[in-house]
Amino acid sequence: MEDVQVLDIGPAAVASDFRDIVDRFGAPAMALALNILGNREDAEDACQEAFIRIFRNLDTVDSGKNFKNWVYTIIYHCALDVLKKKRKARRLFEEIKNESKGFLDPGSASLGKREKLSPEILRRLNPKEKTALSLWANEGYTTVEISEVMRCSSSTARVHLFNARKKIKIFLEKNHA
Amino acid sequence: MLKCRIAGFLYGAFPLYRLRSFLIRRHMEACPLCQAGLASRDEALLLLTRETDVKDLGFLWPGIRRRLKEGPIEPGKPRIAWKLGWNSALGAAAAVAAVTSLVMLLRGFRPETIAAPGSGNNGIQVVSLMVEGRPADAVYFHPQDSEMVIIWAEKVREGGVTP
Repeated sequence: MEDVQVLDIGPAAVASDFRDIVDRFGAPAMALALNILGNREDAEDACQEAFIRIFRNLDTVDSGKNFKNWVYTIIYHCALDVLKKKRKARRLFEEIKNESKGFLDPGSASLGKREKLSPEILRRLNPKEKTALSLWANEGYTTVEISEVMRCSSSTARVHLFNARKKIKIFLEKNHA
Repeated sequence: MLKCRIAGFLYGAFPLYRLRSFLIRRHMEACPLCQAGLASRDEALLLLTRETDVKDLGFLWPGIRRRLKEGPIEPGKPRIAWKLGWNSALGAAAAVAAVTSLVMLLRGFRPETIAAPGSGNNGIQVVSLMVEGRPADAVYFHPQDSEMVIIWAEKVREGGVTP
């Protein structure tokens, strides 16, 4: 409650409910973000951004819909945003590197130390496949529920999940062989 | 086995979500051979980060608090809901106006009630009309040498009367 008073994020009830949401969904949100993004730093960014969006949109939650799915949808979109930002940053970095060839120390040519957590195979899946797989394996979601989170048709979700499972199986078989 | 090959070929040859989903539903989900080519939930969990693997979440709340302090700190206004509400109100008003106009027109086209404007025989009487939630005027138009009477609703112009 001390945090809430310091933060002054509105009526105590709203703040306390929000803290409950963070406590309840923090771990599954972080797991999903880690599975999509593959490193802790980006996953933390995505999670924080997601909870801020959740807080700012609490008034718009449709009580008839699954709150958990709504939370996951926001986390999924925040993870995609982080990936977009990274792509942009990488492009910019490449441009700068090309323009200043010879001036940059090759040893410093990195985007920062980022702890890679994903196994090799997860990096070969696209973010949609990773999301579908993570929701299916971790949460036991059906393709219909996955499609609700990803805001796509159940056909599309089914294909993403199928592709992910197939790629993983091929990878596992190759590694065992 | 042949079915599996055909399904596999179609799946690879046509990258269409609907077709692929159909093939998965109709064949791959039910076929033990095809299922053997897919990772099980347990196998997937070997590679994925699980909720129980996430230990240190101490960063989360302080980070959120810091970022909320930097930006606006009130919960967001339900902008979408507000827009929807306003749109619904406009839609309802337009629908009422349309229905009213239609009823009036249908009544007006009954042979016994058709009357030229100014003839003194008020077969049609528009009591009130609303367009977009505001009172509107009913305009009668009777083309020369015609049996036809056209009636329409028109918004009241600012500071003036409908011509």
